[in-house]
Amino acid sequence: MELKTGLDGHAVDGQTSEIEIRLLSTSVISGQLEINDAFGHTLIPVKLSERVEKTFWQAVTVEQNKSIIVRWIPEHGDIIEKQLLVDHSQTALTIISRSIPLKLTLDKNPPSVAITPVILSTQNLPHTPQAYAGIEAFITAPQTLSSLSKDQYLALSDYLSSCNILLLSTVEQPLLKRLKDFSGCSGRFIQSYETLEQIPQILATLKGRRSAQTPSADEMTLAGQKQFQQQMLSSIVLYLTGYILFIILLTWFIKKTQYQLLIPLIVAGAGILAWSGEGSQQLISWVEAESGDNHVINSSLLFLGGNRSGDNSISLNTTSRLSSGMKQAQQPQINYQQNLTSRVLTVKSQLLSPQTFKLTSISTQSLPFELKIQQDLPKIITFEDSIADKALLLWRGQTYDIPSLTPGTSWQPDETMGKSAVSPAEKLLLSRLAFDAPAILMPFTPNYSGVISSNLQHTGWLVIRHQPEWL
Amino acid sequence: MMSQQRQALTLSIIYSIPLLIWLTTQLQFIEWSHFYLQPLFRQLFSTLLLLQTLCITLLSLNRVDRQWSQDALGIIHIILFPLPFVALTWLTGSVNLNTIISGLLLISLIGALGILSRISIDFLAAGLKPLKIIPPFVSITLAILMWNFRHLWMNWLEL
Repeated sequence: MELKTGLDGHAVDGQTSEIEIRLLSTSVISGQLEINDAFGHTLIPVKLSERVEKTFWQAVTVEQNKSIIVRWIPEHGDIIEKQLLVDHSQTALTIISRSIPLKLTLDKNPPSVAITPVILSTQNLPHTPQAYAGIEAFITAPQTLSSLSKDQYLALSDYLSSCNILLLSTVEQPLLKRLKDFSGCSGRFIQSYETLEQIPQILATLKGRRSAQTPSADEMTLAGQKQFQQQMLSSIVLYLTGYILFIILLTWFIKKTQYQLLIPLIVAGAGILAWSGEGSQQLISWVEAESGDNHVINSSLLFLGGNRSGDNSISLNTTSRLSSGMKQAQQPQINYQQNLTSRVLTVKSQLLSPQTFKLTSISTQSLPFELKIQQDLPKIITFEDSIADKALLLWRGQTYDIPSLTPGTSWQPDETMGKSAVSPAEKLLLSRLAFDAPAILMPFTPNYSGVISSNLQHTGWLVIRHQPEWL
Repeated sequence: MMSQQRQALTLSIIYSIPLLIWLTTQLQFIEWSHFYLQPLFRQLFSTLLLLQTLCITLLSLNRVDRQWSQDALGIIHIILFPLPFVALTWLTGSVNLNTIISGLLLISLIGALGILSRISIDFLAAGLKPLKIIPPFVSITLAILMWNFRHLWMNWLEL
């Protein structure tokens, strides 16, 4: 077993990176790869025939002073254990292809904006979408892109779909257009440069123009968890109040009080029975897209348990990025299935404290509305029927009910009809919008959330932002 | 006149109502994450142990039954009454089963010492009236010790 860190051993603290695990079998082997990182405990089943070399690129979460431990646990034979350490960075990284001699330029003329460069050869570029989590910009030559492996290409597509920065050395316009076409935010963050000296300035401009990232776990919790807390608080208060009232009644009416010794035992037992076992599974999705874009960024918060105390399991797709939503009481265990396309997340949760995970994924989806600005007023054009019932336009700190529109028709708000934000989702979106920037908010359950479960309660919102007018 | 058991139940009901109001208020206003919930429920459990000690002391000060078995039943009522609160504390993962058992054993020990002192006085010095203040004195002393050395036993119980 051989191990190698991705991104040439660099990683951003608390973010996902990747490691390469290479297995070489001398005979027929089967067993499990166990990976322990800052996030939790991952198990990958492996079966190899004789004299086969297999390479896994596995996403790992990195934290300072915590090494990554990889164990090969064969069905028969000795366990092999190896450790990996990475260079930690507190700031986001900028990947620079080895063919671009930018390091010398940066050393000679330190840029006004902080750039943490990581110089990588083509084969060391990320193989998993998760490895791009700590990357803020990628500077490369068009030739490098043509020699990427399939995994690297898919990971880069995911990175570009999320409106991330790519700078290319002199590139032909048709290729640049093709790249922009399949990227998010209409490809505004893919630019070419002519001289190396231009790069810091272009990077500073693009970074400044990036819209806010998807809401944090705390913000999304506020938007969706209040109902759970109210339900649990009511049930606890009813349970304890009911018990006390029952004891008061019995003390009042029953002469032989020794029989009452059983009541606390029965009530405590009933409480333990009712609040033990597999808990609920709740997913709160926040899906954001720019008007006219086909890429939607789905950021979901998965709550496991909380209404009961016990083990919780859920199946997840491997393509969604999984991270800890908040500081976990217990690290999860992730069991990859034999086909490596799904994984089972298992975690123990306690009563009132659900375990929270953040799932991020990119998908392609046509949007029901187009949002434009016409004569200083937002203009909404609808493409689909009967979806506008609960859709709202948020603009200049006010919310406007969007009326039911037939496909192809448009609507502009009357400024006197604006209302104050009421729901937590409206307040959250308004806090993330620039004053003059309009956005549409509507209840929405995405087709693709990366979770495979029949027991899932799903709440979601779709946000369509107005596309800024700069290209 | 109220029996020893009925007194024990009344005392338990009296402390449980403000405790329930306090718990509800805390749950309404704190952030629901294990960082805040677990210390809250640990605090609930240690408060319960202190209140149980206080109830045992009050029970010994107002003794209505001469039978020690009635005393014992009263103390069992005091120990068992808050079990639904304790069950909730355990379900939130704030305390483990060992801590709960040790805590309840500590209260049982305090109750048992009070009863033992009473039995000893009844058997050994039945005629000496001034000695009858010894059992309540023992209970009060134990309650004072519980309060004074609360950091010590809370530390031992990992609360």
